[in-house]
Amino acid sequence: MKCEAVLPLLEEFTDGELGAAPRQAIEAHLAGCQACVEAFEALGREHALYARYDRGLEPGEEMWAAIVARIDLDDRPVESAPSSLWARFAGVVGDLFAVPRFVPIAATACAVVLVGVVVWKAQQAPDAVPDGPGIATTSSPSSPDVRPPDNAKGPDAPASGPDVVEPPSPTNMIVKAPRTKRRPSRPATEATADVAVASAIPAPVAEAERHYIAAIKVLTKDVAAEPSGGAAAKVLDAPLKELDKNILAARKAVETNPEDPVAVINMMAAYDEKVDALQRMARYQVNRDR
Amino acid sequence: MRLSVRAAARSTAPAVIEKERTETAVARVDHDAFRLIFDRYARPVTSFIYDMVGQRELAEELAQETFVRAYKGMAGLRDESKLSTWLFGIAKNVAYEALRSRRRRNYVAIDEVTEVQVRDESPLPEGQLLNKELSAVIESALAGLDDDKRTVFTLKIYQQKSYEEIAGITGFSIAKLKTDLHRARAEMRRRLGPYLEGVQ
Repeated sequence: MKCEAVLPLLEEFTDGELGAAPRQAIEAHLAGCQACVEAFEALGREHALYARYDRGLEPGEEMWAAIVARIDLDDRPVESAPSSLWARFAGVVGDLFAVPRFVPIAATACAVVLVGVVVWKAQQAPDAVPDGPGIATTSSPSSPDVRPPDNAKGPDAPASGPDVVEPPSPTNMIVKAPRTKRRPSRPATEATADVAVASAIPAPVAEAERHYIAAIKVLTKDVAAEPSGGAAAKVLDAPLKELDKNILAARKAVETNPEDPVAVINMMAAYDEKVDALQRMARYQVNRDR
Repeated sequence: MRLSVRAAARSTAPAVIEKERTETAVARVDHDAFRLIFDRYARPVTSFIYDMVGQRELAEELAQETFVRAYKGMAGLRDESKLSTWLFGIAKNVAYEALRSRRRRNYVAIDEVTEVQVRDESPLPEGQLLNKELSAVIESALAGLDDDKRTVFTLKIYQQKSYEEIAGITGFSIAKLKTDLHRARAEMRRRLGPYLEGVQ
């Protein structure tokens, strides 16, 4: 190789980016060309100078703590599955007992479930409950269709990383609800109140569900009746609809597996979350309007 | 109000609940694994971002943001061998966002800083004083490069990334990054000339 061919490649040669053949050719040239050797050594001195750059950065525990705080990592041990349906149900509806006006509802729900499930288990007799208006049941066992957005690569995905795909997250998932009858759009605060009780749901569970629905109705009226005109309800309609989707999915699971206590617990938890959300909205509006 | 966060983070669909029960145990392992990743990459990522933005506090904030985004997106990483490329890709995007944001706010851009501030901390041995001065000069010289050249230069020289890795991090073609790297070296050489002569 001649110097004119070697010099332009010296940077890549220094970077270790050349293939075996050109690298060997340059090595052979350097063995006999002082001018190119000096150019090569100059590059080496540059690198040595750059290596003395001291930024004084020491990322450590403080940064880690800040990261953990941001991602809200919970380091608590894994909670074991509830030992009994009653204990978990009592925990789920516990918040209702904290609100005096809901004590009768919560007490009734607990009593109904406690007695009713025992009886139901003994009899194993499914009870038919008529459909109500509002959210229609579907006879097809379709489950929510969850798919990532068309642009699967998020903004942080490298341009040439076919193996890296932005994972679906609640913020980018497109959730298709099960096929239902078309109904006019309704505020999410009201939608749950009209949920249909499917025939597969055990009667005591359905009864408890009705108590939850009653609580949701009351809270919805509270939120709407505030002087702000239910502004919070309008703003938070989207997340409330998300909670309704959760309730629907959980109910579907109970319909599919009515004997599964976990499915029942999950459904109660979904209702509990809606109640909790509405309680917060009502408290927020009360505090804000003071 | 955190309703949307709760709704998004605590889906109570049974399938998800079951998955969460399993993942809760897994999450603890992931937490430990993520700590290992942090320990391995915190310094190089923060250094890279610092080279890009030139401000310590901002670099640390952006490094945090990088790791937070990485944690949230970790499940989507199919090939663990591409972790470094993926992580630096996030860091590069975070840094570019900050640079664009700073320019929109008409802050004094770091490439407008031409005066070298020599840190006056005495007494220091002559070698250390020279290093601090040199570091300030290198920092100023880096600030004088445009974003793309600075990115390529710091990834190659300071982070020791291969051309292929740099292409994966930046999305640049190999031809472009070679050109940018060559021009960055020439510019750095010009700015650090006196110091390079002193090294001979």
